Amino acid sequence: MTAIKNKISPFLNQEVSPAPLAVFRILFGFIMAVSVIRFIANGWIEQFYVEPAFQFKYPYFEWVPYPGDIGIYLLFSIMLISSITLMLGYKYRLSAILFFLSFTFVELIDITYYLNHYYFISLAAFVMIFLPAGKYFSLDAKRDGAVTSIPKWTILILQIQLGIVYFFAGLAKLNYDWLVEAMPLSIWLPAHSHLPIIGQLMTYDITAYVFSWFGAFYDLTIVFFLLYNKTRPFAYFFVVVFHLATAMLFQIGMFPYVMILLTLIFFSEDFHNKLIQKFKNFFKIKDIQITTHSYKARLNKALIYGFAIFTIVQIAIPLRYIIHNGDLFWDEKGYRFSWRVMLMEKAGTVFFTVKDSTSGNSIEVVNSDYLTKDQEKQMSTQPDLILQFARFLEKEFESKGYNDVEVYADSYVTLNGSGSKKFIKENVDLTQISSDTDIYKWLNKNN
Amino acid sequence: MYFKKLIIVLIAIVIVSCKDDSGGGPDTKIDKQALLSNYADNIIIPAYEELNTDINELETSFSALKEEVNESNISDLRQKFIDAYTTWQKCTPFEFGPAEEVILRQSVNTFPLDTVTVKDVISSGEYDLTLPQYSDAKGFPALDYVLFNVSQDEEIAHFQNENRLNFIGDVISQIAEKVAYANDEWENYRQKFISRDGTDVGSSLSQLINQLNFDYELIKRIKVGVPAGKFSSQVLPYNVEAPYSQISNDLIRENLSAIELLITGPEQNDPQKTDNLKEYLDELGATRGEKLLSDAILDEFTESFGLLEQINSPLFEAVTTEEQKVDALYENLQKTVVLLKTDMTSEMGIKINYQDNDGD
Repeated sequence: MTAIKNKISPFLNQEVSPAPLAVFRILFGFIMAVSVIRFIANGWIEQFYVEPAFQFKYPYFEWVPYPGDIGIYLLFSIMLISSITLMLGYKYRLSAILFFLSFTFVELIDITYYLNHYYFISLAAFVMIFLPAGKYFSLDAKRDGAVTSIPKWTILILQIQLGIVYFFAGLAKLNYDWLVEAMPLSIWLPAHSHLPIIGQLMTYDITAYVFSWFGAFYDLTIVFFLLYNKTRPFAYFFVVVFHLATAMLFQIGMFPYVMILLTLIFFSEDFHNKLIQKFKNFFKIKDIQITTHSYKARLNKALIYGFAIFTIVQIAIPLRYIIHNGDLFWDEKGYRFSWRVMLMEKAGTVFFTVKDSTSGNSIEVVNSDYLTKDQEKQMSTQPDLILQFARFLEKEFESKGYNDVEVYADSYVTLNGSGSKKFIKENVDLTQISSDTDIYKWLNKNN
Repeated sequence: MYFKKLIIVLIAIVIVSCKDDSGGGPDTKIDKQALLSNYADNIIIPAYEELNTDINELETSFSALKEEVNESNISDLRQKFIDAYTTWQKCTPFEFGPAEEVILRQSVNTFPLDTVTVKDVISSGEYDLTLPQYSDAKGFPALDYVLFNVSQDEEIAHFQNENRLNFIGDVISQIAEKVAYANDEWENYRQKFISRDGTDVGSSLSQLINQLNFDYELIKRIKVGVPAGKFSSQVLPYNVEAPYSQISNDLIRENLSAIELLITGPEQNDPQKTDNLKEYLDELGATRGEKLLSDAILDEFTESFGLLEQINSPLFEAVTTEEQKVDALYENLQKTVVLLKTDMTSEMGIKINYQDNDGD
């Protein structure tokens, strides 16, 4: 035990250049600022947060409220400003904390907009709070002096974080639909037959197979190729090509660009030093570092143990579905927070009927009276959201004077082109169901 | 080295797969541009042209009535109204582009009519139909009410009322203006429509499919469900489309036919022409059970027409007297919504919203 410890500890605390971390900070802050501006420019604050009258909540985070119309704009202002100060390395730790809190708060308001990509940003921002990424080539460093070295673990944890994203995304692709049926790419790719040059290619069945298999291989192995000096340039070339291709083919927003920039953390000290030098030349920044010192993290040991646990938890979370032992794509129990991306083409329709059990009167609900198009779309394929909405309807109709409200759902879902099947069981009063109820008591099995 | 070899192998796979003719060439021969231009030239533009002609005839007929109020002019105006309202059903699924610019569907066919406002407006003679407070007091539903809600012995006096005549004239002009705009603008819009041949939000196919679905759901919910009391504690006969002329059933049939035509394409009887949604779905290999998805959808339409035919009285009465038949139709419409909205849209990879998806 101690022998391993004696080897690991020096490895983790090996003194390395602070340049990679500084570059990561700048790129992260930059791409976040761009993302926030894009989000605002698309009118999404209005559309996603201000307009909806109802919010779908995250399990365990039901207490996170909608902060009000002024509140939401305030949160986005904090997010934008802190991403810029993060980039500049101005009051770094405070910026990282504010960015993490404002970003995560906004995410937790409504589960409708859950993306693995946003979850990744929250995790990365959280990690950055504890890293000395503001102590070199930053406004803070200009004032207080820069560090000459940092412990290796501070870079390693970011590499691990990226590695987990890729590797689990790859692992998730090792399933029958993806590998044998080339689903859902067989559906998604022909939809791009109009594209110039490659459009024709999209109409071949084999294309979906090549993309599927290459995608799985890429996700599973890219981190290892990025880790080794010899393969790194090739690997990064593939990172760029792969993500640009997905950006062109799929409506996935900023994620490809985030990954293209952040995977630079795998590159060497030299590379990052050169990058910083080029950056300095370009912006004509003079070196006026007053003092330099080596970085000694307070609570260094505690942080290392903390991040070790953090990493183990992150490996456990995507695997939690194994305990549930259900039909993951169908019931989605344990689907979120697991880097399962682009794995399924799932669509649904759900009609709710509310019944006053005293009078026997029943009435069909117009979902769009309460939900936006985005919310309705997400709800119609996710059992836990259907349940949340049923509970909301129960309360809503109680307040309208209905007695002993019963809520029924007539719902259909199609998964990877299988054709729509009845989703929620017929004649199940959803007000009697809780999230602890065995899901197949109220959900039909797939097939 | 290993990595280099791997790249070569991958590139080789891609090249081989491109040249692989044994697979029978492209597995899907979808020409979306051809489909869009087919639909624009042979469905959408002719529908607007027909509606525009009908509205012109409605105007002419109205001028004749203004000249001389007599039985034959009244009945001619009523017939022209029925023709135009029926033709409107062919245009209602196209609420994008020019129609969307003038909010056509809402302007010409918002019902139930606010009869209280219409009565007030006719007695005072003071109104401006462009104002929002008159949004439920105009269009075809207003004509339906004013032209038909009168007993035969009072007809002549009814139509001699100057305020009423002015109101009818104003309602017709407003419809005419909006329809003419959509009709004229499609000439320009056509090119744009055909060129946006993707499947993303804002692409023509996405707009077409979304509006087709939206319109279909309006039939299910507004035209049948609401009057049949599905969304309230009692039946609401006056919420049918056209409660006074009692042509609701015909209008529903026309509306369904218009949507069916979008699946089959305009060339339903010409096996040579295939640039339509049915062919598209078949090329994608979309099946449902043993059947092709497209056939499953078209079977539902056939069933809808049959169920509609079985309803003997106008929907206004049928919601109380033939409740079970109306329910059967409603259930069939609901089944079709699932096929159109969930199965068809999903198979085609059509995007229905702008929100980012999870990336890779």
